[in-house]
Formats: sequence, structure tokens, C-alpha cells
Amino acid sequence: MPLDSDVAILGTGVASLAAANLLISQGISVLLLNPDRDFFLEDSELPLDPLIYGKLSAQKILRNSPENALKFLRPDFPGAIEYWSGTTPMDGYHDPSAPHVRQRGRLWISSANSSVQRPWEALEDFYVEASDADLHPQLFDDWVTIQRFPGCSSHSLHMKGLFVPKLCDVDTVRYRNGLLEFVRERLPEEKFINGVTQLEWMPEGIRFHSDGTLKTAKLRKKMLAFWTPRLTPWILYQAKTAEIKPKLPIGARLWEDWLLNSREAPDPQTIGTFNNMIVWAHSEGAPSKDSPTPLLAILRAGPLIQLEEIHLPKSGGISSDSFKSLSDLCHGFLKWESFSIRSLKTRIIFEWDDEVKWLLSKSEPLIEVIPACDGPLVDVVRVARSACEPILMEA
Amino acid sequence: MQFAVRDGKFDVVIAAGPRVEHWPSVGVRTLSLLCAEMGLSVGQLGGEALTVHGIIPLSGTGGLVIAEDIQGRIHRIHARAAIRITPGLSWPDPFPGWRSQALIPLQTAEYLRQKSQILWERLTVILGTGNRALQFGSTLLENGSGQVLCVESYAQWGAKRFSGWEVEKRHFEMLGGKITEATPLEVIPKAPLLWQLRLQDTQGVRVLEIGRIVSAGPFHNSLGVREYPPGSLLFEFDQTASTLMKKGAEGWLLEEERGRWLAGKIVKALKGHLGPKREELDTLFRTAKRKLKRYFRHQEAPFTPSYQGKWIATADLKKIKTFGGVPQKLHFTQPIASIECFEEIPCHLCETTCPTSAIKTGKIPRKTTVLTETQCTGCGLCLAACPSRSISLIQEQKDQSFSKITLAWSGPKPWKIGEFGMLLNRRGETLSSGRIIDILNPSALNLKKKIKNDLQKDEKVQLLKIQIPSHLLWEARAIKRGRPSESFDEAFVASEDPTAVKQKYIKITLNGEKRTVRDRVFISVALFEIGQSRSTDILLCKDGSCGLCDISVDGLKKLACQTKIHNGMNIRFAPPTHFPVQSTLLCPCLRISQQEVINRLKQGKLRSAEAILSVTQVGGGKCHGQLCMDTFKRVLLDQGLDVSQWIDWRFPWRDWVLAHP
Ligand code: SF4
Ligand code: SF4
Ligand code: FES
Repeated sequence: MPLDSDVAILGTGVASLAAANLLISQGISVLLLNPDRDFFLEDSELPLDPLIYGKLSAQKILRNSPENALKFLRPDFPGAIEYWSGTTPMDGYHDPSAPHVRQRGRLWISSANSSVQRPWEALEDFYVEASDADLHPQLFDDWVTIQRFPGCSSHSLHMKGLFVPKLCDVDTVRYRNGLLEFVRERLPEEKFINGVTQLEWMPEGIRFHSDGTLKTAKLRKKMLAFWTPRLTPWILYQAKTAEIKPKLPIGARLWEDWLLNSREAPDPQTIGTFNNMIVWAHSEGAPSKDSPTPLLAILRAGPLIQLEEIHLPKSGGISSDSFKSLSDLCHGFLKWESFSIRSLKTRIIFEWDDEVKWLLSKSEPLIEVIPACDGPLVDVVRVARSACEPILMEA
Repeated sequence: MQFAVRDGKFDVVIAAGPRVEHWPSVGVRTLSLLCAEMGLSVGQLGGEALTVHGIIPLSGTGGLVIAEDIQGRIHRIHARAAIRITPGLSWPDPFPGWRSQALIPLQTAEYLRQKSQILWERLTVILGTGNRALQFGSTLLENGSGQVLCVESYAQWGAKRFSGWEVEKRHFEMLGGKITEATPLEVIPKAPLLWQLRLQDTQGVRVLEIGRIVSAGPFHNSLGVREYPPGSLLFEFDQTASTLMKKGAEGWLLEEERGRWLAGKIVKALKGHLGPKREELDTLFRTAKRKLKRYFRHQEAPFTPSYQGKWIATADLKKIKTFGGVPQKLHFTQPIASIECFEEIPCHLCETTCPTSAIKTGKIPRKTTVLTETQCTGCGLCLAACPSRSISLIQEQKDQSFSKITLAWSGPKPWKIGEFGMLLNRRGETLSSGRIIDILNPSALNLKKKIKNDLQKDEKVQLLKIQIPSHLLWEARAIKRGRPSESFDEAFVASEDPTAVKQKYIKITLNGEKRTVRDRVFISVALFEIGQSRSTDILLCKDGSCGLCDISVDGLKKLACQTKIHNGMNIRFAPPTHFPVQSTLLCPCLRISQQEVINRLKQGKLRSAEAILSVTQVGGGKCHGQLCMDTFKRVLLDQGLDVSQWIDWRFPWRDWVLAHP
């Protein structure tokens, strides 16, 4: 049978592409299945780690360093990944359209009157830890701090802040696209299947529908299901039919991705954190100061919802709080007189307690569910790789 | 708190998209009325008081409609079914220079014609030969433009004839308009308001000196309602009707029918139990569907007489004379309406206007119109009502050398009794001269209020009773002024012209230079009039939704299309002020070319619009896709992607300014 493979990969996002890429390059035969129409509907991968919730730690910062990002993103990526270090113009040959890893500093602002804000004491504790770990953090207690905040027009507002110079963000779309083009080339067309429905397992393999026809495939090893929010209905349904208790995330958080028009080009070197929002100069590739339409990107953490609610109507959109937060940021803090919204996208991203794999089948073939395939791109790629490692070791 | 969000809920929300021309249009009214009748709650969001900023699709069906009222309050309305009304824009396929300010879409052209004193005296080229294109051409010619050329650049134009097309074409040609088949190659700027257009036709390359290109195509042979994602009850609905049915009967009829059809679809989806109303709804739905289909099947050329020289061929003249709408007997003794409209899909305006019910245009497709001669009083109302001037009053005086004909006429300079004019045949060729012997005034008649209203809203129509040589009675169907010397009393006529109001001129500073412009017009209109508009100033959307015409006025950032000019104003272009003129950019906001899109699509074997958008970002620029999404879709269709139903739901659909509380 032409579809028979060592491993079947089920997924909607980057994790499944990264896994496919990794396995193919090690000579393992792969069947790639996507219930979506293509790989562009998944939007749960983030360019950076928001670092809004939970305790800040040196370890977390190190995980988000540009070096670490490059360590995970570069090895298996079929092409160049550029590195933008912020200050000096890049020399030598560079591919401006390649995915970029950008080094930017992170600035946490502490305002007294916010419930979402980390208390100043927490930031101070973290400062000590970060100093010990040689992260060169800086504490500010004057208005000069505020000047570094992207989009801030000069004014003298007294606020405290903590600055850590070296974190990163990456081009998610470009990365996914690079992987996608490559996997498409390497995989026979009939083994790259979008729009998969009615996936079921049978002895030694799986069967499913696509393009209106029933297809079957024998699997020599197993199937990996990369659990992103879009795959949730399928996972829950399968678990129910197989009478297996799924290991659920704590919940799903709604993230709002706003783009605002900015009068002046915001400082591209810092990513600011204000309440439950992180704010940066929007760019793809290397940021340029002379963009005709400078944009300010805001990622705002919305409420945490239950898994069952993901597909209920009310989860779809912006609320009073969203506008209030934006106004607090733009009018209250950045001191803009008005702001105009260029675009909004909402994303759903899971939050996990522990990220353990579990089996969705009681018998052969094994169907392994890989959690945490959403969130910061670097983590997604890391998860994909560690899911493949046992198979690679075996081979 | 100013940004409190009010929550609302409707079964059906009909939301005005950017640039809707008038609200609510006939389709919106039909749709909401029918849904309400069937027991659904309906919200019409749009107009002066409410600005809709976008629809956020929900998983499953329906969406959240986010709107802002006049006080700046935000409303979040949950809709089980949501419909976005969009007027659509017509852009040609890209060619070098197509994004220059020489080329404006039809909507802008119509707006400028009404609002400005731009002289359309140089050759105007209209890209497109649909009804609306022809109608606009006719309006230009009626209002004294020198020349208008309609260019059909799409090879299969034989398949684009639409309800009412033949009458429009005839009207256009009668006024001296020309139609040709060619492909635009390039536009090159020559001087302010002067461009060179190179056209490719079967003979070779033609070079034309032109004043403006109006883009009015390509013709979409589509239903005009899309649902995306399929089954989501999220629709996009094309607004094709104008304020008056007369200003585009086919768009009006289509929109109305579309409204019925969509209402049927939505009610069926949302209402489980309709009881006795079910049958009513089914019939409505089926009829609407059939009619819409019928409109689209009307693609063959309708009857167009053939000519020998300037004269209609004998056989065809006989056909006209025996047509059911043409008088057979009584016109030998008195003036009788001759309804020479050979469309299979009539607009019915003459039928509904006639106070004595003398006209029956019949069902669609109809074979003939029936005129009951004995009921026609010769009042001339149907002449004034007919959008394409297909009706005239004729009185044939067989044994005399002169007969009488009454023709409807509109234009800036009214005729006077006693004037002579050139008589034209149905193709606009000059035949001979005729003399105005009387001018009828239909609005003086005792009329139904509705008809009177429509007559008054309409541009001034004159009914000219003309004495013409008897042998021309069946040939002449239009009149135009001859050279000025032949005219009656030019100066006197001009002084009587009520439209020639004295204009005030004022001085402004534009980019540091002194300029004289007309007072109290919008800046964008003033820029057009002095030939200083930028290539970004091409939409002139009445709601300022594209945001492209940024301009600095006395140091403040304003939109040129929303700001009126006043004396001493200091205006500067805000960067970036132009799209590169000689480019073929598909999305000029983001400088993305058509080739780039095709390359990405091919390289990545991308199969959906979302995929291509996420890679190229087309439509994510300043205008939110208002300039490029239509062409983008067409490019994808050409590449074999099925995106005919796809709707771009990115939020918001125009920049949304939130001011400080
Ligand atoms: S001229 Fe008057 S009466 Fe005669 S058909 Fe026309 S509208 Fe009717
Ligand atoms: S008004 Fe009557 S004659 Fe004129 S186009 Fe409509 S149906 Fe034809
Ligand atoms: S042209 Fe404005 S977004 Fe494409």
C-alpha cells in the first residue's frame, strides 16, 4: 500500500511539520495528516514567550535567549535563519526574507494601581536572581525607563521598571512556511494529506477519509498526534470512544493580538510589558526604522477558559476589558491622544500543568498524544523534537 | 468608562461594510423585512449613527459584530447569522500604470461627476462595457463631454450581456459613444490631466491621448452572495442597487432578488418550525432562485437591428414596426408611445409609471411588450421614466412631409422652443435636423405621489416635441445640439441655466505653492480639479474608510476626502504620498506585485486564500484591502484556486480611531 509508513503524524501546526521534517531527514517514512484544509489555519504559535504569568526565573529567561532559540530553530530548518542583534547593522550576506530571530530587551513596568501587575517586590527578587545568573538586569526608578517602552511619547511619568537586555522573538509565519515548503518537496504528494476526516484505527494501522475517499495505511511504529487547540474536538472525541481519560490542560487562554498605528516608529529594541499586555514594534525580518506605516503590536492575555468553552460562541471575541486595557495603555500610559486599530486577531493557547505524553489507544497501533504544541515557537519546536527522539533512537 | 462595551443580540445582523453607497439599499430592506416577517429579530447596522467595524466569526455559525455609535460607544452584537454589505470595486487586471491617478474606479468617477466641476472634455476611456459602464458613459456625453470610449478587455465579452444591456448600449451609442474590444497595455503621464494610453486590439497597438480612465469591470457573473466558511451563516452581499431604480435597473432588480433569496436561506437555517409559513417561504425562495438564474442566463445579444449605411435594414425595420410595444394604428392620428425595448428582462419602470396602465412588459423572460394603444393618452410619463430612452411618442403624418416625435432628453443646458437640433439614429449617427416645437412638462400632471417624487429626484428630464421629416420618423431616436452657430440663442439659453451658479474661488498653499481652488469643496475634490491629486487619492470613499488620502492641514493630520477646503489653508502631502506610478503592484500599500503572489503560491503549493495571505500579507496595508482584494481573488481564481466563496474576515475592516475619553 502506498500509504503504509513507519510513523503517522497528525497535526495542524508547526509541531507536526517540524516532526515530519526531522523524521524524514533520518530516513523514517512518514504519513502526514492534517484535519484542517491546510497548515495556515492554526494560529496558536507565538513569536515569543509573553512571560506574563507565573514566577519569573533566570531559567525562563535563558530559555528565551536568542542563543537558545537558534539552538532549537536552526538545526533542522531547511534554510537560513537570520539573527538580528538589535544594534549594529548586519554585515555579510543576508537573506532578508528568511525567518529572523531578533534579540530584544524586555522591560517590565510596575504601576501601583494594577491587579494584574507583578508586585514590585517580585521584580526585585527576580533582579537578584538574574544578576547572579549574569543576565545583566537593570532596575529603573525614573522616567528615563519609560522612554525605552515602545510607543512611548516623551513625558515625565514616575514609574519603576526592570530591564533584561537579551531575550528573543522569532518570525513564526516564515518559519512555518519554510518547513512546509520543504516537507512538501520531500514527501510524496499522496502522503501529505489535508482535510482528513473520520480518522479511526484498525489493526496495525489507521483508516480515514480525504477528498471523499476512504484510505487505509499500515503503521510500522506509531502515530503521533500533536495536540493544538484546533485538534481538540478530535482528541476529546477519540478519548471518549476509546474510553481513555485524557490528560487535560488547566485551561485555554484567549490571547488578543492587536496592531495599532503608531505615529512614530516605535523603538524596536525593547519589548515592553504593561499589565497583561506585551508591546513591541511590529516587524517581519529585520526591523527598519523607516517603515512608512509603523505599527505597534500588542499581545494581550485574555481570560482563561475551560476546554469545553473553546467552541462556544462567547469565546470568540473582544470584551469591555480589552478596550479598557488598550485605553489604559495608550491613553493612560503612553499618553497618546487617540489610537487607531489596524487589526485584531484572537488566538487560543493552552496552559499546562505538566506536559506529559499519553496514549490514545489501548492496543496497537500506539497513538501518542503530544501536549503543549502551542505557545512560543521555540517551545513548539522543542516539543516536536523530543516527541521524535524515542523513534530516532530506536531507528 | 468610555470604552464600556454594550452587548446585544440579534438573530440576523445586516452590517454596512466600508464604502456602502447608501443605506439601507433595496436588498437590505427586502432581506430584513422578510426575515422579520418570518419571526426573526433583525438588526440593520449602518448609516449615519452606527459604524460597523467588523465581524468576528465564531466557531460553528454566526459571528460577533462590533460597531461604534455616534457617541463613540462600542457595541458587541451576537448574530446567529451576519451579512456584510459591500459595494465591491471594479479594477482591471494589472498593467503598467494602472495604479496611477489616471485610473479611477467607477464609483469615484460617479462621485466626482456629481460633486466637482472637473471637465471631462478630453477623451474618457471606460474599461468595461457593462450596464453601469455604459450608463456612466451616457451621462458624461449628455453633460457635454467630448468623447467617451468604452473598452472591453475581457475576451469573452459576448457572455456578459445582461438585463437591460441592449437599451443601455443603444442609448450610449445614440449619444455618440464608441465601444471597442482591446486590452490596455500601459498608461504614461504626459502633463497634468493628460495621459497616454496604449491599447492592444486586433489591428495592433493604438495610442490615445486621454484625460481619464474609468475602471468599470470586469463583469462578475456571480450570484453576489457568498458564505464563508461554508455553512457558517456569515455572508457577504454585493450592493448593486443605486438610490433610484432608474439609475441602474439591473443592479436594483438583482439586489432585490438576492435579498429575497438570502432571506429564504437564512430563515430556513434558523427557524426549525415555520408551520403554515413554510410553503410561502419555499415559494419565495424558489422564485427568487429561478429569477436570479434567469438574469444570468441572459447572455446572448438581444435583438439589435442591422444597418445599411445610416438606415435600418428593411427586414429589421419591419420587425420593429410589428413589435408589440409599437403602435399600429392610432399614431396616425395622435401622439402615441412607442416602446422599443427588446430586452428579455425588462425593468418594468414604464409599466409602473403609466397612469392609464397602457403598458404591459410581461414576465421574465418576456417575448414582447404589449401596448394598449387605445389607453395611451400620450402624456409622456413613460418617456421620462425609461432609464435608457427606449420610448418615444410618435405621430406619423403619412401624407405630409413632416411628422412629430417626442423624445426624452436630459443635460446641463435645457432646450428652448424654436431651437434646431441634429437628429440621430439609434446608433448615434447624424441624420438631419429637426425643430423643437413644444416642450412637455409631465410633472405638471396629476400624478401619484410616488411617481412625482421619483420624477423630482431624477435629473431634469425634458420632453421635446420635435418636428421631423416624415421619412425619418422610424429612424431618428435622439437629438443633439449642432455647432453653436446653428443654435438658437446661446447666450440667452446659458443665462437661463440654473446650474450655472457663480462659483467662489479661494487661495490655498499646497506644498508651499500658492494655488487657486474652488471654495467649500472637499480637499480631495479640489486636488482632482487642479490636477494635483496623488495616485493614492483614487477611492474618495464617502466614509473615509480607506484612509489613503492622508494629508496635513495646517499641521494636523486629516483625510482629504473628509475635510472641506477654506481660504488660506496650508496643505501638505503627508508621506507616503504616491504609489509608484509605473508599477503593476497588486497591493500598492504593501508594495506586493502580482508576480510575487503567484510565485509564493506556486513555490509553496498553497491551496487556500488564508495560506497565501499569511505568507504575503496582501490586504494588510493601510486601505485594509479595499484596493487589492478584488484583484487578489481574481489572481487566485486564475491560478486555479477555488476562492469564489471566500471572504476576508480580518478585523477591523477599516482603521478604527479611539480618542481619549
Ligand atoms: S404616454 Fe402616458 S399614457 Fe401613454 S403609455 Fe406612456 S405613460 Fe402611458
Ligand atoms: S422603462 Fe420600459 S421601455 Fe424602458 S427599459 Fe424599462 S422596460 Fe424597457
Ligand atoms: S492595496 Fe491597500 S492593503 Fe493592499
